[in-house]
Amino acid sequence: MITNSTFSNDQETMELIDRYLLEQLDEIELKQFQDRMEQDFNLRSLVLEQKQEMRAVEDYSLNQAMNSFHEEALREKITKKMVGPCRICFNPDRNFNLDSFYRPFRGKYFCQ
Amino acid sequence: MQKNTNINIKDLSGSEIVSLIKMNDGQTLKRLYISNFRKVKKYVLKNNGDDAAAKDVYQEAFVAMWHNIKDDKFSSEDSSSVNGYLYRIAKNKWLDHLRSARYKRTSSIEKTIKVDAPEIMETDEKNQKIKILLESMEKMGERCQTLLKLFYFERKSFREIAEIIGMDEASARNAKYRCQKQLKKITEEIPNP
Repeated sequence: MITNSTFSNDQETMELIDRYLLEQLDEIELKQFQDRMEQDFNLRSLVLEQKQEMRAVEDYSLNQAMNSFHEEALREKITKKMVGPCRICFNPDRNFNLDSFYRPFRGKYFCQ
Repeated sequence: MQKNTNINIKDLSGSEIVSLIKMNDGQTLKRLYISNFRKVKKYVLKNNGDDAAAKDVYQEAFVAMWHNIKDDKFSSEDSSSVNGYLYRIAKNKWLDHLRSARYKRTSSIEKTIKVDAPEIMETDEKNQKIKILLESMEKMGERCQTLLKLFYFERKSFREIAEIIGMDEASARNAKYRCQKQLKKITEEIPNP
């Protein structure tokens, strides 16, 4: 339940705005909050300000995360190179059981 | 950034991927990043770029894609269109780079490259504010950075944050509030150009 008290830049308001931005308000609370936003310019500007802060934190965190993703992207390429040579084992002219031939390599070198 | 360990991006529909991206799902973002990097790198290397340029342009494109999805500027029905969208942004960014004045002085390669319209349009004012906030984030202490990151990016509850940081839930709640106040204060101190 959202009270009718004046919205100011305090902890309670900030947490309520967080719940709105993170889509954690239930249907009734969301309707009440949206109604208040329509009437209250101060609340609207607080929401906008907090949204930008949230986005900046997300941006900053994504940039940090991307560096670890990048290292992993480079590692993945190396792993695929290592499993490559097994492909040359395949020789269609020779009559051997491919399944039993590859069994020892499964999970080790064979391309997945 | 939520953990979704059993995810296979190819099994998801476009709208599911979009929802997961909006929630900053770590596994989805990582798979998306890794699965598209090589294609973009190949394109950049083929068009007068190097490894470092490929990384830069790809990361810029990835952030732009993430922004557009967050702002509901992109909707998708299948997973391949998310990949295609990321590739198109990266390609346009690289073409913009090739067309830039500095590059024109040293090469005329851009004449041979097909021109696509850039897709990324964001207001300068909004970008400026975010830029200042990012600068402020860097100036914050590591504890506050972690706390805000856990709350806004990884979407952790105060109970989870409390466990990670090693404090009780009420303290985590108060600490997040103080950190956000600190972020506001640092932002106000940075001159707006």
